[in-house]
Amino acid sequence: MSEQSQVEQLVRDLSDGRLDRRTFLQRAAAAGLALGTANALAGALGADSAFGSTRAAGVLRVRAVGDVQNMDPAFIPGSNEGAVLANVYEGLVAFKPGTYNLVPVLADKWQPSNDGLRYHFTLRKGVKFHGGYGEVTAADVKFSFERTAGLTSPAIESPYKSDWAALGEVRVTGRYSGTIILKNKFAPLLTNTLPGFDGYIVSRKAVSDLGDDFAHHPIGTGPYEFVSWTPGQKTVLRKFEGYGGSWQRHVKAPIWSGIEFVPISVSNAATIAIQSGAVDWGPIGPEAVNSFKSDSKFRVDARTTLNYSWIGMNIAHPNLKDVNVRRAIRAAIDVPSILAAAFDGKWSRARSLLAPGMPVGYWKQAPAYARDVNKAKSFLARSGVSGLELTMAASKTAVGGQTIAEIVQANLADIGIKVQVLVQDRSVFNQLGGDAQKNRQLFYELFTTPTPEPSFATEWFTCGQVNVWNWQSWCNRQFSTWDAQAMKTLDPEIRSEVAWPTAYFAGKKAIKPSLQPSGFYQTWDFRQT
Amino acid sequence: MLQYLIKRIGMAFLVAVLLMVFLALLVHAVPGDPVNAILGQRSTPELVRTVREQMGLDKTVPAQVAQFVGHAFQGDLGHDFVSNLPVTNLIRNALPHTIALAVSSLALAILFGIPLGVLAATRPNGILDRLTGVVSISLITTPSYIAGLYLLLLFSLTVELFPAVGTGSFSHPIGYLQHLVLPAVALALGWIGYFARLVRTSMLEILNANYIRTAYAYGLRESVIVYRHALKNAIIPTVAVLGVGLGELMGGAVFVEVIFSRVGLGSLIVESIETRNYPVVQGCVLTVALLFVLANLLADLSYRFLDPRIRVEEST
Amino acid sequence: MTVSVPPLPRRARLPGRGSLPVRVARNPAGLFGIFVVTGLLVLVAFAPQIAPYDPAHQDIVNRLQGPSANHLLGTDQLGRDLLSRLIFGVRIELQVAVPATLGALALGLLLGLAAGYLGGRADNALIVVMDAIQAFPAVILALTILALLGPSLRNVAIVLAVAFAPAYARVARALVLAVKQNPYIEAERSLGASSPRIVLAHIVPNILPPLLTLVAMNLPSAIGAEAGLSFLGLGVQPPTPSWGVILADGFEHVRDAPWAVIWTGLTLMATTLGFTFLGEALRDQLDPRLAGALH
Repeated sequence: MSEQSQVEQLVRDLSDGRLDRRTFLQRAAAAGLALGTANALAGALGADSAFGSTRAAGVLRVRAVGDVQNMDPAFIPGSNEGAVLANVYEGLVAFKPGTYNLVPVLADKWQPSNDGLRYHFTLRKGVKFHGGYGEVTAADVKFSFERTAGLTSPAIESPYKSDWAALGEVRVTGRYSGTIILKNKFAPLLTNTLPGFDGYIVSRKAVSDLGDDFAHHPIGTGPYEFVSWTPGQKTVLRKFEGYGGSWQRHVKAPIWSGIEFVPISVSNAATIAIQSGAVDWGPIGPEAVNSFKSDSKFRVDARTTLNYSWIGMNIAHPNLKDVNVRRAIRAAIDVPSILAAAFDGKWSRARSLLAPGMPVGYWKQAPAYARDVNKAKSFLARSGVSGLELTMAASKTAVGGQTIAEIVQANLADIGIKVQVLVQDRSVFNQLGGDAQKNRQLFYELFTTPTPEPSFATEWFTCGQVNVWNWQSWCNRQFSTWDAQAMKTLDPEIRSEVAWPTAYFAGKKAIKPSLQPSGFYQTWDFRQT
Repeated sequence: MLQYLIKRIGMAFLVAVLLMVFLALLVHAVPGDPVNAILGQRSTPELVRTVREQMGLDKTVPAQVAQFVGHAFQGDLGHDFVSNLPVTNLIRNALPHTIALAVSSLALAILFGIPLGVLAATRPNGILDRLTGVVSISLITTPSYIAGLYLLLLFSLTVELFPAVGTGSFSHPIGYLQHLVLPAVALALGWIGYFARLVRTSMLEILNANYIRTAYAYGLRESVIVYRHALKNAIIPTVAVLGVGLGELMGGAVFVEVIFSRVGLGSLIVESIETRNYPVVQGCVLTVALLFVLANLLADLSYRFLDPRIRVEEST
Repeated sequence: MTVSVPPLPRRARLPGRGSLPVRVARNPAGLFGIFVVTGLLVLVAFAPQIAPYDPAHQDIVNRLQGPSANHLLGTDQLGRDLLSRLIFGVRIELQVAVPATLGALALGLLLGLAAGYLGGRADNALIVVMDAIQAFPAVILALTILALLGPSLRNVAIVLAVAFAPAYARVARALVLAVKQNPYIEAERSLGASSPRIVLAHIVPNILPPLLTLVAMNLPSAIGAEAGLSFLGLGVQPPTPSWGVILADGFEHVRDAPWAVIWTGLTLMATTLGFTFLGEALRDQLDPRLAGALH
């Protein structure tokens, strides 16, 4: 059964009263729902039939990986806000939970032009913003998109401006209708911009009324409205009584009276919090999976992400200039041991930048290098380098980062390379350009790819990103051109063919023995709240 | 007395100013850039520049120091780099939990430490005395984080008596207390031992004093002597260390706050150091230091008030 | 973090016969101290001979194991032998604690001498600076300076030296003031001895022994502080097997593999207790007068 039909079946079961909320949650997550969407979805599902009454269930307490900081969709720093906002905001369209198929949410009708440059939309009528900010109109859509694109005046400088780089304007053709007009074809529009947080519709009135406070007081149209944020402690949402029901064409009405996001950044503390019932549900670290699985009070479900992490080498650094040195390092590193120790075997080995779940571009036959100390030694001998000393940096907050660095240290010691491990604060680890880039040697980095847009996984390795996020300093004109072309074509076949010739990337150059976190684990217990 | 008070407050004030300058200098010399921690993967060099300007990080260090000190006197500790909230808000949110922790630890220390000291002093060099001696020095030498980790292991993970993580909220007092027990005990243990030794020493001194011998000679009951007369005077030195105690407890709270994932100044400082969130580090450290100075001042004054024998020294 | 410890109960004076170690060992606490500290010194000297494994040797398959015949204390998240790591950790602890306390002694002695001997403005200025430094709870001070310097073994030693120095300076100052009162100092001065000569020949030798006792008492505080800072990730950096690093690694897995936390905690407790007992016994034997002056 496909994931999509699994979800549909689940929803039918729940509304027919065959499932209770617990079981639903278990199975929904098993079908592969993102944390944010699963909340929205689980919240949106009707409890009426399951509990035989219209009384709302209690408050769901969710472990958040970190505290929220800025909840303005144009400025959100990361997934902590993302999980909250998924319940508060809605876009014109979204991915149907558990799939990467677009379904209309705030849009009633949705029509792209043949040339892929115009997208006509008609809004559902009578959908209300939270906090009495009135009905959603096409003017709000125009404002939301053009704001992030930097086209409103005064213009804002959103980090997500490039997601709307192709936007010419949004033309309002009626109170509820309008057209998104692009300057050029832009493939990520449908894979990332519109279904992601870039596509959330904000209230123009709320943004101007609240000013700076808007960042800490989101006003959307979602099934849950924002109540309060206590820094470091919790973010509280409650069921929005005036909910316009845009999701209800796909799922049913919200069942929880509220959702509380409790930030617990340390994986170990989160494990303890979930075990002791301090929170009901949330992501856990790979090291905790087995013990939760063996505990009948809990249910653990895995979800495959599109994120990838890797051990990189800065080829611009004098120590790593020689390709044979890099080959030696690649041959010396023991990837299976890293997967076992850093991720308790719960993440799988990456074969390319694009994860298996990516709709196009996954390179199944990519080579995976096994550890071969003799080969490594002979590469090193060929390079003529001896007494090599390297640094290997990892961010303190990266799951398994320290462990990986320590294993690499031990692996390379076997071929006579001395490695100094640097476990750094994010603020030091993430320094861009300048001396930071000049001194960078080996590093372990993780990129998140929240939406199925292949270019988002690859754009960081282009020539333009050297001295920014391309820490490898690897610049290949052809690869960069391909990457740019792939963004501008809409044909999936062409995208798959011209885009991301990963064979070239990973095969010819000894850049990175990569690891891929394609398992991401969530767990919760089912005490009634 | 008034002269002493003025002098003491003047000193505290001077120390506070020194602290602020020191802090402002300190945090601006720290390696690492808050912008990197804030913006993450999608940041561009242009955006980094814009944000640095917004934060005032492009100004010279002396200008930033002067600005920080100037604003601090007006009760403005700047804005959190990351969330853009006033730092005072964050402190107002975290401080009550740290104070609750420090005060309840101090209360535990007094509640258990003083009787232990009295017990030891009643039969000097007896078995009980030797036992409490060993116990109290063991408590003193056990770091609070070891105590915290063991308590967590024992009473949260093995026997699930108390919650292992979180702070609770003041609106649910019982839940709040449950969250408070283990951290407060972890923090208090060392001070229980310390108070026991302190009280024992001063009790022994006083029990040897002439007026106590006289009381014995008058045939007063031992318990009356010990509890009514000796203890009253023996406690005075503990009052003197209460100020230091409260300050050290607020500092030591860092460990238990991290171990038990509590909200508080300590965990806020550690987090903000990690993200190079200068204004928050400055604000929190300044708050802890000021409270420390204040607590010392109050303890000093009450000590002088309690013990008429102590004259105001002109030299310090 | 640092708590000035009031003297242990003054016991009945033992007969002053026998060498110092014998006299210290006659006291059970002192004996325990000698036992622990000697044990640690042996471990420092013969770590490679005593430790069953290379502390850096990884064995991923056998990671996070409990105690067994192969690994008496179990293994960590990389399958490294915990016993071996703790044994090699002693070296790291002393590498931090000894320079930290000696640095604090040197710094404190210098400042205390200057303040006590010169008096007047220098004295007042010093007191203000000491007050400012001590207005920070020691942990917060250490955290903030470490953030400035960046975490490393050397920097932890520096930070602790700075944090401990004011205590030495105060004691040194008080002792200088007391020694200065002695008539023979006045006599020396009237005979035309230079200040440096008086300080070096008469004051320093007189105040050094009590300060050295303070060093012995401070070593366990330094060890405890190092482990605490490294536990927070701000001290010695992994994979160096400092006890704080082992503790931090262990805390990550405390729920399923509590061994690292349990053993490291016990080791730390025994160490600090041993040093403290030894320090107190030494103090009682060396200079009973001092007992009161040190806090």
